This record gives sequence, C-alpha cells and structure tokens, in this order.
Amino acid sequence: MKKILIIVTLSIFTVTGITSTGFARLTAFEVVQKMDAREDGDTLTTDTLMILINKNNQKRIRNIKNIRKDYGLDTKGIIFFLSPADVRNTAYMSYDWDDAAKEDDSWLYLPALQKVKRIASSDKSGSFMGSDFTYSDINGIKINDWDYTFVKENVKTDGFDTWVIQGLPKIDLKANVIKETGYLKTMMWIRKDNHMLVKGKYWVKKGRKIKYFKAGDIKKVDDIWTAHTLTMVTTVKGKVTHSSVLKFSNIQYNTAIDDATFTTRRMERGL
Amino acid sequence: MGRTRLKKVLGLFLMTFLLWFTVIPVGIGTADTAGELEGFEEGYQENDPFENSDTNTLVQDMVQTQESAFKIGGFVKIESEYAYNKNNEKLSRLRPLLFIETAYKINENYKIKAAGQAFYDVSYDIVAKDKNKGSNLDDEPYDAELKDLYLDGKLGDIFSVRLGRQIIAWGDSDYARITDVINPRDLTAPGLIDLEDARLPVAALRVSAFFDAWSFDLVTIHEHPGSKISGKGSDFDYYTLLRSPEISINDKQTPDFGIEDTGLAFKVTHAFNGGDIAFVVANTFDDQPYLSYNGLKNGVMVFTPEYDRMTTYGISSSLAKGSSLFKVETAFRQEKKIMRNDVLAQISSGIPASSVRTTGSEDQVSALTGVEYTGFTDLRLSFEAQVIHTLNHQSYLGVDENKYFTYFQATKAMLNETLELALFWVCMNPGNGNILRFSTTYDVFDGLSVQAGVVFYESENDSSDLHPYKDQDRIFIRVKYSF
Repeated sequence: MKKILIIVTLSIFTVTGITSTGFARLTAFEVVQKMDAREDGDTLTTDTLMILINKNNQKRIRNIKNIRKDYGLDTKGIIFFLSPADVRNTAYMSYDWDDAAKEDDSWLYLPALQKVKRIASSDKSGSFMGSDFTYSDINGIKINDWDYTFVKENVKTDGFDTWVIQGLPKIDLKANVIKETGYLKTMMWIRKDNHMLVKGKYWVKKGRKIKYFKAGDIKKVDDIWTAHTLTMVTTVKGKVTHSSVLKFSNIQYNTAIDDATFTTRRMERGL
Repeated sequence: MGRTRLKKVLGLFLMTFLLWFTVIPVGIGTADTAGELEGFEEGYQENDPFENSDTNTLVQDMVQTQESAFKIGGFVKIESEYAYNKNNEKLSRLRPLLFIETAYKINENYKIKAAGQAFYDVSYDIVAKDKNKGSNLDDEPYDAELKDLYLDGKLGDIFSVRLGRQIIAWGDSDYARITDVINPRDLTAPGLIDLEDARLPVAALRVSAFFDAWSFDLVTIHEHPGSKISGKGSDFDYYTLLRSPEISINDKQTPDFGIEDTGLAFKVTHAFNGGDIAFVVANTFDDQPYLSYNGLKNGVMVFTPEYDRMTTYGISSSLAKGSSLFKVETAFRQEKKIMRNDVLAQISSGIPASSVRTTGSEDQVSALTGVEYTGFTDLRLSFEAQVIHTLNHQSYLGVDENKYFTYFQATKAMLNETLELALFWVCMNPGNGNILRFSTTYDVFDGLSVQAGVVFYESENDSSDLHPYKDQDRIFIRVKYSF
C-alpha cells in the first residue's frame, strides 16, 4: 500500500468564508493569497466518496472518513478508509507543521499487517490513492514558490465573475517546485465574490499531460463556503485518460474533536 | 543450477530494475524547463473536458457508505503454485481459502473483533492421484484457523486495552524480527508467504497509555504456538538436513497456557518531529524451536522440538528526512538456545541420553539498518541489512558467529494504482544463498485482484540453511475477491 496524504486538510480546493464587499484593484498574487487564506474552520469532519473513472468509463469507488483539527497554525489530520473491502480500515495520519523548518509527520496503518509505520512524504507529485489528484493538489502548494499573472481579469464561470490567473514556478525554485508538485504551469479560475478556486488547469511534466479541475455544488456549510464535489480530469493530447471525483457529505466544521483522535493507537483501533 | 542459474536470476533482477528506471526519469529529469511547455496547449480553455459534461450528475446518486455497529467482510482467495524445476516438477498448491472478519462496536469505547479462515489444498488430491507424491507438499492440506478474537476498549483519554487473540507488530523493520517479539511467524514457505500473512496471532492482554508524545505498551502473552514450520515430506521441511532413517522428530512441544508460562513485553515509544524511537524489554518464548533428545527407541534417535524463554532488550527507531525513511533496530537477546553441531557425535559416544546436550545458551546481538526511499513518483524502494552476532561463539554451535541478511524491495504502482510490480530480494550471508521474488498484481475491479509471480531460490553452499530448498522455485497465481 502506498502512502496516502492529507485529504483531511482539503486546503487548496475547497472552502472559503471570505466574501469580498468591494473589488479594490488586486495583484494576481494578492488574489491567490486571499484564496489561500480562506476560513476553513478549526476542525472539520467529512465523509468522502472518491470515484475513479478510467478511459473505458469503468468506475472504482472509495469511501473515506476525514477528521482534521487545527492547533494554531499547525494541523493534525486522520483519515480512515471504509471501503472497498481490500483497503477497509486502512488509516493515514499526518501532523502538518506551519514551521517550514519542520517536515510534516506522517503515519500509515495497514490492517493486513496490523502495523503502524511512519512514512516519508516530501514527494507530493504522486497520485493520491490512484486518483488524478496528487498529494500537492490535496495538501496545497506553497503559493510563495510561484509567480502569478492575470490571464483574464473578468471571465464568467458557471455564472460567476472570476479571475483567470496563471502560475509559473519561480525561476530560482523551478527545479524543486516541479519535482515536488509535478507541474510546469498552472491556471486558476478564482471567484471574485468568495475567492474560491472553481476551475483549474495543470500542465504536468511527467507524461506531458494536462489536468483539468472543477469545484462544484458550492454552498455554505456552517457559514463557510464549501464545494461538495471536486473533479480532476487527466488528458493526453486532448483525450481524457482518467478522471476522479470527490464528493463530500456530512461536512461539519468547528465541532469538538478529542486530541486522542490523532494518535497511532487510534489508527489501530479504527473508527 | 549453480552459478549459471544465479547469473540468469540476477540478470532478470537487473533487467527488471533497469526497465523501471528507464521509465522513471520522465518525471524526475532536470528542471531546466526551457521548451518543456512546447507542444502543450497554451490557452486557458482549449479542450476543456467540462464544456460538455456536468460532473455533478455523475455522483448525485452515489451515497457514502454509512457506518454501522456491526461489520462483516472478508475475502475468498485461490492460491495456485507450481514447482517447475524438472527434478521436482509438480503442482505444489491449489488452495481455495475463505477469510471472514466481523466487528461489533458496542459503544464509542468498546468493540469486539473476530476473524478466521479455512482452506483446503486440492493439490494433495491431484498430485497424489497423478504422481503419487502426495506427501511431498507443503504444510497442511486443510485447516480452519481462528485469527483475531479480541475485545478492544478505550479507558478514558489515556488508556486503552485489548484482550484476546491478536497481532501486535513492533519494530521498524519490514522483514526482520528484532524487537518484533510478540507474534511468531509462518515459516512454512520462505519467500512465498506474503508479509501480511506471516504473523501468527497469539492470546494476549495489551494495555496501552498515551501521554502527549510518549506511549507505553504492556503486553502479557498467554499462548506460545511457536513459528509455523513445515514438516516431514514437505518441500520446505524445517528439519530436512536431519532427516534419516536413524532419526525421528516428534511433533513440537509448545509451552502450556498457564500463568507460569506467561510471556511479558514492555515498550516505550517517543514520537518527535521526523521520527520515533522505541525501547523494548521482553521475556518471551523464543518462537524458533530447539531439539531436545529423548533417547533411542528401536535403534532410532528421537528428538522433540521445544521452546525456551529468552529475554530481549531492544531499541528501534525511524527517522524521515525528505523522501527517505531511515531505520535502525537492535536487540540484545539473553541466553538464546542455539543448536549444537556435535549432537550426533555425543550420542554415538554412548553417553546416557540425559547427558546429551543438544543446545548451548548464548547471548546474541541482532542489529539492522535500512532506508526506504519514495522520492520517485509511485515507486518505493526499501533496503535493509541485518547482522546476527553470537557472543562467546563456540565451535560446537550450529550457527555462524555472524549471520548476515540483506533485504531489498522495489514496488512500482502504475495505471492509477491498479497495477503493481514488486521485486523482493533476500540475500543470506554472502555465498549462502538468495531468494528472489518478482510479482505483479492487477486490480481487475474493486475487490477483485489477480497476482502472478515467480520465486527463485539459489544456494551453492551446502551448509547453508537455504541449500535444501534450492530446487523449490515456484511460479504462482493468486486470485482474491474481497467483500
């Protein structure tokens, strides 16, 4: 079983509670900063349905339980796999430290081995659980590693005004950024009313693929804007090769979560 | 056999390895990306796959699995193995296996789990019928085993307890047993048993406590089945070097279930940013048997496999740095019973059976270092090197003063993790032999997977533990449906 990363943070793709009341002239980087600084609650629990669809339209479905808690600027998260049967009870836990000098801590519990093991998780360009999302998609990229420019300053997307912003790795960080994320270039459609990322396009170095992202079913939960479906489609030379959909339900923000939830013993005990 | 075959095997190993790495660099090449975007679509909306579809409709009818107090699941697996060397060609296993697992959540703090499996190896019938070699197979033709059966409870915010038959996996090594002292292993077919099937559950009480970054585990062990070993007639007969008409080996004599035979193990673990360190102290029964001599019966020397206590003091640690996970693990084993190599000479000398010494009790140090690297996309590489050093080594002991093992594993996930290629290589003391396993697993659809592979055994040193198995190469196919 390979490593599994932090769907629990749901960081870059999901929610925002910030609502602009007026559009002062922002730079592209400031827009991305606002997107990155969205309110996402101190705790979050969700049930996630992951649908993986191959080019023959065959579907594989995973059920996941996500629990996340913020500790100041640090975040602890744990996920449990409910299905399919061959991965049931697998658990992944991570401590995501805000301090850049500290590497994130990650553990994986494999029920077949009944063993918790620490894993190294710095490479985030790999597929998240076989999906079209990478670990960097799920965990979020470091916005300071990229240069942003406006492609379009006002485009209607699903009926909402959006900025279209292009991101390129900073020249001096290019090698590391591409190695870490797998992306040569990104393009983001960000809603002006709530700074949510609603659409994306990603140029993938490996395999010269282009991936397309879309957030859907966006509505407020506990007064926090939340996308209830996320889709990522991978294409090669314009043809869809694989796609993945994440559907969130039972989303709860700011509920009390016991600190003992984020222990290796809890991974062994399961839900 | 011998060098030519070893070259072929290692050639295959090298070829496979290189093949993987010719694919990998696509994703890890230089980041001098001038021209890398050439040929890509440059625009912001060409070929937008969302233009003509609404992904919301795809999932609107799909609902999340609801959690319930009672859960039942398991799998059906058909395992087929074929020994293809011409001196030993046969169907060595054709085994349907049913595994059932249930769990009941009594409340938020307590739950019960039970799991068991049953199998019947059809190859015994087929081979006995066609080749009259029915006894020359691996372990039992059929069996029903209780795997897990325990009550798990959470006592407040700090303590938890698990009582019953269970697996408690300690240590950082993926392969070697150093501080992993609780559960014995299935040693019936080295190289063919998957790691997930290797640990054998035992009846135990485990009490755990968490204090911030510290955790404490106290385990009392009440069952000592010893490692599972193949018997007489098996291709992997544990005592194959001793088999002769003059020697008889009884069934193994395991310790009782009483209080006086309770094993005890204690572990303290400290987690810190980037790593963990654990200290282990245990007084348990060695899972590997020694032979006691029972005297001559009708001119045949009779031995019985028995088990003795052993005290272990160990340290285990892992440290993550970038894409690498470094591991070290070491243990001092006090008074481990080691078989002597002069037992037959003692018996031949005519001394009374009660004076025959079959073992020596010596201290051993086992140490391991390893690294796991995940810096290549969808590829995991793992390397571990272990040495077992016998202190105060004597010439009459049946083990080398230093035994070396190296383990290498490469696992590559492909096609959105529906296809996995795996390579596993164990090298015993330089020159003592190798086990090489290559396998591929394909997920046909959710729940159904097919695994096929080949295992090579190589040993030129006839005193090596592996030498008797050098002709036991296998190809195998496993079909597993999980529900």
